Amino acid sequence: MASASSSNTSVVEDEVAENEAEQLESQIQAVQDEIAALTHRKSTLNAHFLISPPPSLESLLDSSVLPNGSSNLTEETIATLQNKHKAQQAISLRAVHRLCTSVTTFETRDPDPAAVDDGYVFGIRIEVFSSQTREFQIPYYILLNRPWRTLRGSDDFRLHRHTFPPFVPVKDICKKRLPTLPLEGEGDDRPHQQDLLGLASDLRRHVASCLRREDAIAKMGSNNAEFVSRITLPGAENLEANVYLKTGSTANMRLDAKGRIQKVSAKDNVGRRLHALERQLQRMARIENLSLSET
Amino acid sequence: MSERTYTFPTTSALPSAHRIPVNDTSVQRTLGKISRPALINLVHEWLQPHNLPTCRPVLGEQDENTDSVYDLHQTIDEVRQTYDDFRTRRGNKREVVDRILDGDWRNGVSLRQLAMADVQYLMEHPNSQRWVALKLTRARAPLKEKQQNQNKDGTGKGQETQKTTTSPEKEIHLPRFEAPVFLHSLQSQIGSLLKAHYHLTHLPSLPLTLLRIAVLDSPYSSQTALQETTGDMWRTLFIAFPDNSPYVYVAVASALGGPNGPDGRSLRSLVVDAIPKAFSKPRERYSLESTAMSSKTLGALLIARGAGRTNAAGGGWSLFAKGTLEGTPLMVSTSAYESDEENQVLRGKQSIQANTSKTRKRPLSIRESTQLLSKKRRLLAQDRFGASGLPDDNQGIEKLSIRIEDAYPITTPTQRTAQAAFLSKQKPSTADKPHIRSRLTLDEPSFNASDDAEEEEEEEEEEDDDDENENQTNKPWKPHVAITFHGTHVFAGIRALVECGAVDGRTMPGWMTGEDGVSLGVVREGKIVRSKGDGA
Repeated sequence: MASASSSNTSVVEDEVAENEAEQLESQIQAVQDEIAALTHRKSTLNAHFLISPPPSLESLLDSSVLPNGSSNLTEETIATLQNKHKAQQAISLRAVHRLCTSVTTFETRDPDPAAVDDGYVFGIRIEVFSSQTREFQIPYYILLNRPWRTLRGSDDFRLHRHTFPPFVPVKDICKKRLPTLPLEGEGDDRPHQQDLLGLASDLRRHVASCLRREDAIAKMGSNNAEFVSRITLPGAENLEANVYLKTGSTANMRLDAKGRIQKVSAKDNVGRRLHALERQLQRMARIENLSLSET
Repeated sequence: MSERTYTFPTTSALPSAHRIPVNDTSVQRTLGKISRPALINLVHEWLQPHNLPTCRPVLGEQDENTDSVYDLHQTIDEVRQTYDDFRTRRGNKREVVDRILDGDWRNGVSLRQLAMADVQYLMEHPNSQRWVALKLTRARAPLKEKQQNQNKDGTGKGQETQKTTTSPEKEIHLPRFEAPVFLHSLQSQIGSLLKAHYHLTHLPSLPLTLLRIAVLDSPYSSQTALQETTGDMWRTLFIAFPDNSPYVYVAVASALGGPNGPDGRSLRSLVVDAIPKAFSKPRERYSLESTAMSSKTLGALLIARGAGRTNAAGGGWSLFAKGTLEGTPLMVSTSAYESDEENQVLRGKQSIQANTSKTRKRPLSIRESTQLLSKKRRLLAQDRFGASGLPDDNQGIEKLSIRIEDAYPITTPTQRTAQAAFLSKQKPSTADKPHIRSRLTLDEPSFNASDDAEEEEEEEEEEDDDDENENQTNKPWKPHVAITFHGTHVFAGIRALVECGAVDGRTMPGWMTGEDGVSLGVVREGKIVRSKGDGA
């Protein structure tokens, strides 16, 4: 009797457990369905958001007006929203500018109390985009000031600060593109003209072509993945590439600024020169066209 | 009596495999400095296959005649195992050193081993040396001068040639550092003057190549000559070559033997003079120039004279170099980069002002106002120092020496008359006015309030030259003021002083933020006078 009752209770317990499990499963299923639905909705909304122009702030504010004419937003909130909206619009516009032109200018202040021209600083920002990693690099900046403005009323700029790495000859470029003040009593025989466009394009060419070469070398490596074991780039300018082949030989290449192969030195694993390979590589002319399958 | 060997002077370098007897003081001293775990790592490095030709331990049967207490091993693996056991066992450094010197390397430590040990010590104690940064600059080609002369004649032809030569900038702007080539060329420069062992290594932790030169005070380079050396005959010198940058760091004080004193200085200048020559090639001559920057931490030099973006953007401008100021063009959402506190500098200041002026209805409590004030000061420090001057960024310089060559500031008419009266008296003994003034500007009593590790002291020195004062009645008075800051990280200290309010962040001159990247400078019109070799 006792055993029967115990078996009964155990059966009941089993049933209860089964029911609970079923319930849980159905709950889990429901949650999963909901997640799927929401994910789908999110992606559609995202797509919709991306293709449709964003709703104007006015329309959003209108939608917050209750049927009785009063709004559930205080005036202060509306003012904050409008300010934020304005700021965001400015940021978006700036971003579009930077996306399209890659060289943009801005103004900033030098906090140094002894700064020339009341701390006015004119900045040029240069964007570089890597096609290999598909992202923008940290922008480069050059900041100019006008040291002769208060004294002579001259609007000429001079290099103040910059964030270019040492391989970019910033000083030489500035010497060429920015005027230098002629000394007292000295004839004005120096070219006294300011070429900010030239300055920006010279600087940009250095950093952008450096990145292009890196991209081209990486592309060459991936095109010849079955032959190349690794590639190293000695030097920050990416004007040299050491290609280690899987056969054990190495090819060291010197490029020019535009990615043309200038010199090649190839050696096998015991250090003998491979003149045939050198000639072949030299004939391919450009680093991105390089194909090792023919060698 | 063994066969007699002859030694004679040559110009070659000392070979890495030559061994110094273990009882030499230089060996004892070098190995004695290194910590136990680093010593065990070092032995493992010695036992790497590529190091074995120069660092091989003694293997084989125990010699009956020796009084060594250590048994010899048969294979390299056994030696490695012995030192692995040291790693797991507790014990002191002495037993490892004894095992090395009396056991496995009883026949002497090779020059390469000694060099590796010295580098290991340097990596363990990165602040043990003081480094001076020097810049390699292209010496101007005489060809260019010729063209300039032609231009002066005013012929159109000359201008044309200048145009064609200057318009395409040189593609490789930096001197190329090819370690073996450089070493070979350096050796040919100084080899005939001194007998040295050269050790080149690329540091794993920092982007630079380290060259250790151990100079032996002997004309011979044979193994026999080394048997008779003493520790005092060695002078070591460290030179660091940061990757992809035109700078060279030379160690001023060395750990082993130290090139101090007249001998050391002449040795250093001999080697330093040879560096630009070793870099030079036909039609490409270099010379070294000072950059007014020295520090004990290599990190500080790499920031101010390195290969990165911060060379000409120190202090507050470091935010530009770091690139976190505005984000990339694809970051249109402000929250994406503004969550970073340091980017809220300007906005933060504005919001504080707005808070205090408009929206506050009730007066602030004392606690609130102190909090607000300290936040304001913190943001101000952020504005002036940017991402630099942080206590644990390992980029500190320990001495900043500034000489001010500005006229004594006269702002009010009363000051002006006082000044005139002072000048008419022409008494150099009363020249302690600038002293008081600079003390006041820096608000000295609060120095103790900043209780971080920084200890700063200023020394002002004034000397009034009688000759100068005689015809100074019309000229503004320029007292000679020199200020020196000392501490483990000078700019972090000044930043802390700005944050606690001891130094006014708004009126503080720019050179106190380290934005010029110099450790030694002259201030004119409130700004550091730019030297030729600086980062900008």
